[in-house]
Amino acid sequence: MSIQGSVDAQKSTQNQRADSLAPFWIKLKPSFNFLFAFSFLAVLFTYINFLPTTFKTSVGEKKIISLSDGSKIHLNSLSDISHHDSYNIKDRTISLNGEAYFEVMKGEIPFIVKTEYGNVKVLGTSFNIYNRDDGFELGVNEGKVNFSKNLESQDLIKGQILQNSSKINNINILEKVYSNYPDWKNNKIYCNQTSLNKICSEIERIFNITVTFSNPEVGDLTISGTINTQTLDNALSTISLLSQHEFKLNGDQCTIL
Amino acid sequence: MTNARSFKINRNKLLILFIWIGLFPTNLFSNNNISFDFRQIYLQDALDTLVSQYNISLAYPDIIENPLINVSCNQCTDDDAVETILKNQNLSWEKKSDQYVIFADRGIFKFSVSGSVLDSLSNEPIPFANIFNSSLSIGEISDQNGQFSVLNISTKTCTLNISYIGYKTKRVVFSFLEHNNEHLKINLNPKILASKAVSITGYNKEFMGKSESTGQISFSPKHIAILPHLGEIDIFRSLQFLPGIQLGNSGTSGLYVRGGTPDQNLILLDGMKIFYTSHMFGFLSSISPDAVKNIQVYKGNIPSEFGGSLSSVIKLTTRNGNGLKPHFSYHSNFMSNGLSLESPISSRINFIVNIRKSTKNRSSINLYDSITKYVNRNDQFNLLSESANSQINKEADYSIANSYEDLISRISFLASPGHRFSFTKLYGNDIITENRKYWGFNNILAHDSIRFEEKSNWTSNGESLNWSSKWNQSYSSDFLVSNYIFSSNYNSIQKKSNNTNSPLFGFAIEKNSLKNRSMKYNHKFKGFKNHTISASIEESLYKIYFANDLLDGGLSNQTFIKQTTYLSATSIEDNWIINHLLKLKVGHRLSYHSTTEQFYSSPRLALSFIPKKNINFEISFNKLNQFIHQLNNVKTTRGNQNMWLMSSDVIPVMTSNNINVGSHLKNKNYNITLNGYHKLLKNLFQLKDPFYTSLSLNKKDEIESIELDKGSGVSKGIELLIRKNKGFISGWISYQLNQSTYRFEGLNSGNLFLANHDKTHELKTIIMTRIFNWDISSMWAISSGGVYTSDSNIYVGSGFQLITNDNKNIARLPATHRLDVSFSKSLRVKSSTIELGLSIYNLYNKKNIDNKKYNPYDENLTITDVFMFGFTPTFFLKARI
Repeated sequence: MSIQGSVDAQKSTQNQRADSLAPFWIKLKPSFNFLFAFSFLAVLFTYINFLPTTFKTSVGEKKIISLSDGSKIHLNSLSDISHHDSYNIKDRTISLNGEAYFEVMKGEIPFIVKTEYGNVKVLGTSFNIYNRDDGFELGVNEGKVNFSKNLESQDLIKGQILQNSSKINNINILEKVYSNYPDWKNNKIYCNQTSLNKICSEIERIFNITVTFSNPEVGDLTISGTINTQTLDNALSTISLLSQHEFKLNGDQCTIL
Repeated sequence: MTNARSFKINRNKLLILFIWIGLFPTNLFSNNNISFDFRQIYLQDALDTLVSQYNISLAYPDIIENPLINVSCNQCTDDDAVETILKNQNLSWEKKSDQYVIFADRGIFKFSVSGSVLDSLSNEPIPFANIFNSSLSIGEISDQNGQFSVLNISTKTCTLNISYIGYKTKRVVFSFLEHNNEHLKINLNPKILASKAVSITGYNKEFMGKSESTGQISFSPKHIAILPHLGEIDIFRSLQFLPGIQLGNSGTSGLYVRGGTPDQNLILLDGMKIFYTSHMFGFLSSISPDAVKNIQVYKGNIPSEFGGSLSSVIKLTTRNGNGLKPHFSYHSNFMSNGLSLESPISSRINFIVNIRKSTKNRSSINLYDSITKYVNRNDQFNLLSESANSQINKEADYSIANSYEDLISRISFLASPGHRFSFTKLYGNDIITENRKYWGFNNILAHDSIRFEEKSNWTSNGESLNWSSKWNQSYSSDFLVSNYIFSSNYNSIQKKSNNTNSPLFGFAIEKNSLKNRSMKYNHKFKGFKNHTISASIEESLYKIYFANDLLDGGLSNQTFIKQTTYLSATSIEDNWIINHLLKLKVGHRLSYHSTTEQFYSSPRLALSFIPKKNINFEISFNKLNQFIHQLNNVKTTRGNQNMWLMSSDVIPVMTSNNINVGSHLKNKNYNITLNGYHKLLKNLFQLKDPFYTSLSLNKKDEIESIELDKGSGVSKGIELLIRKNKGFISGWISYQLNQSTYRFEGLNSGNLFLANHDKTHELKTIIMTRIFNWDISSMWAISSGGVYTSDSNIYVGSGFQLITNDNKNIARLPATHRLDVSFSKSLRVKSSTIELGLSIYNLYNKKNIDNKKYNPYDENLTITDVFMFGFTPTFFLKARI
């Protein structure tokens, strides 16, 4: 529709100009051709959904995204999701970088989350996906979730957590041990033999700071339990107590001494 | 018709009883939070359970040790749960806004906190506050100036609960990094705020506190006005509502503790020993409740710092007074008017003064009349009067006037945070004048018409100076000098009754005094881990003076007794926390008595076993000595009714071996205490009648010989207390089963007999509630009747003496019961508070028989029943600015 309109508009201009100012018509011809080509491409792109819609969070930011089918996505800090415009028409496919919690409305069309570690396929459940460079985690709060990578496929039910620490196939399934999953939604970090390095990266993302360890070995200390991340001060003093090292905060630079 | 009526009354009583019982078990158990029982569970798994099941934010490094543990926790808080799991582990924890962090200890900590507990509104120190943490076996009590210290805390962080009767319990988290060696001020908020016109708090007024041991009661008289009372708001009469202390019926404010008699109690007011605590012939107590902050009653194990009494120690601590602004209060009731003034003089000096004076012209008040009649019931003269009324050609006339006044004052000076000087002054005075006229008693009084004018005067006067010091966190001391005099003067003259100017033909003068001067230096040292060591030295001088000058017709008699005795005592006690299950108190007191020139040993031992946080078992053994004895002889005239004698070569030192066992169980709302006791009393004595004739004195007017009946006694019993502390209805039920028996050489043919005060069963229930800002409290008590000797075993000897050879006290009066209720309210008018209340004694007017009265002056010995008070209302008003 849009291309038709623009062509008509051009034509009326051409007619006026052709009568009185012939050389202009000739001068305008290449731009018309260019415009025509551009419009054509735009139509093409729209129809094949070539350009996806993207939502992004920066450091320390959280977002809730409502999709056209009524599904909700809680996006953690420094994460992004994207989907094509054909979402909920042809398919319900979303790609994720970072961490997000999904509350998927029940529907005929399977809801698929694409990550570098594999694809998560559901019909209508709530689940959380952590998908970052340092690992992958999928935890199910409701219903059934299917995780597939290459040819392998794994079903997860409510209360289970799938962990994949590297991009090589190394799947580990745990029973969820704490309520109020996922932790980040409740301003907590749940740790299960989690290294301080990983905890601190999370803190970095939440508070927009950089945490460095004077002694890198300290970062390898593993922690279990939950850590409150309501305030930066609390989170850092917890890290300090756990590591038995003092911390120093200079602007957005934190050093664990 | 009569039958029908009595049935109706009984049904009403039953109804009252049912309402009673129905009121109690409301609000049984409120919500708890964390409960677990871990058997052979890994520590880290236990911690994970707290995270997963109870959603506690808790983190720990995986490198901490992970032993198998056996711990359990019932309805505990987050803090308690974490502490319980980490108990006996070499781990520390810290809490910061709901985040728990557990980490391995590096090195050994010696973490101490100390501070003072204060009332948040008045800045007044709170003595005997509890500072505790049951998971860490910490249990401290603040001293009389509110000071405390907790040493050798082995974790880096520790939660302390600070509580006191009538105040909200405060939880304070101390951390090694922030609070080590710091002196803290802990302000407790009163549960009931007098300043709030409308109180919507769900709190009840409280009286009994958490005490260290099952044989000890901590009592706060702050809200005592809401308890039922008779005549005056009375501390000692209120103490009689407590378990193990006999309800003195309506007769006396004296305290019969676990089968002991009132003279076997050591009563201390700010450390000063006091020997006379009553007004109106023992009916009322002479210590005004407005001046007292706390009362400690030791009825089981008695700490070795106290000595010289067989039955109990009652330790009263006076208030320091408001430390922020002056207050003035006035009270009035049927019996007396009182004033109280408290004020800070500077930021370090406080004073409080409390005066009470009996109202004049009280003879118009029925209550006053009934009290005087009641307390004089066994007086020889009154028996005579009664005879006169029942016999022809005999007549008698009697009038009495009585007044009393008392004063308690304290001034305290805080020299530095650790040093406080205080001076307490006590004064009490009773004056009684009596006029009696008799006609037709030729045979008894030697004259046909005779008039007696009697005047008695009792004075109690004392002062004490106290210097308490806290030298450092582990060492504190308390120095006390006190001076106390009790004196009584009795004067009577005999004249012909028809002529006021007739010559005197008889008189009696009796003077009697007890002086006590004491010095005591008490030290407390907590430097050794798990040990608290107290040691004291005490030096006392007792002077007894008794003078008697009698002229009765041709008979003249003069007696003087002087006794001077020095009593020196040293005591040492170790309070040892062996582990989290066992606590041991070992103490010893050694006294040297100058008259007998002998040492007397008094060992004390108490072992507590705490298998769970809310259960406690205790067993204690005490050997106690008593060197001073009260002669309660109705045969002596009134002036000497409270005469005291010291032990000497002829008067024995009484001893008692006490064994107490107790257990204590508590949950959030209920406390249950069960105690058993057995006391074996030796060297008891009674004077052979009459007192003067059996006495022989040496040149110094000291007693050389006296005729005594020596004996021994046993008191044994069980007491049960169920207490509900919280909720709309609070109160307690206390039951006591007791038997006190005596055996004297010359009495009752040497056979065992029940003591006069013996009561087998006694059940007391106190229920308190608050409806529309009215405090309503009620007391229902049922007890066995008193013992008496039946008429077949009693006969009149020469000189109208009553003689019993056998079967003494074998009969028992019918059981007594009564219901007292009290309604009181606080009103706020501008900046002043007005408290008013109505208390009704014996609401359903039960005719309870107190004792049997024997009148030998009638032609035949007559025995009549003496009834306790019937329905008696009392009103009080108190205004405070």
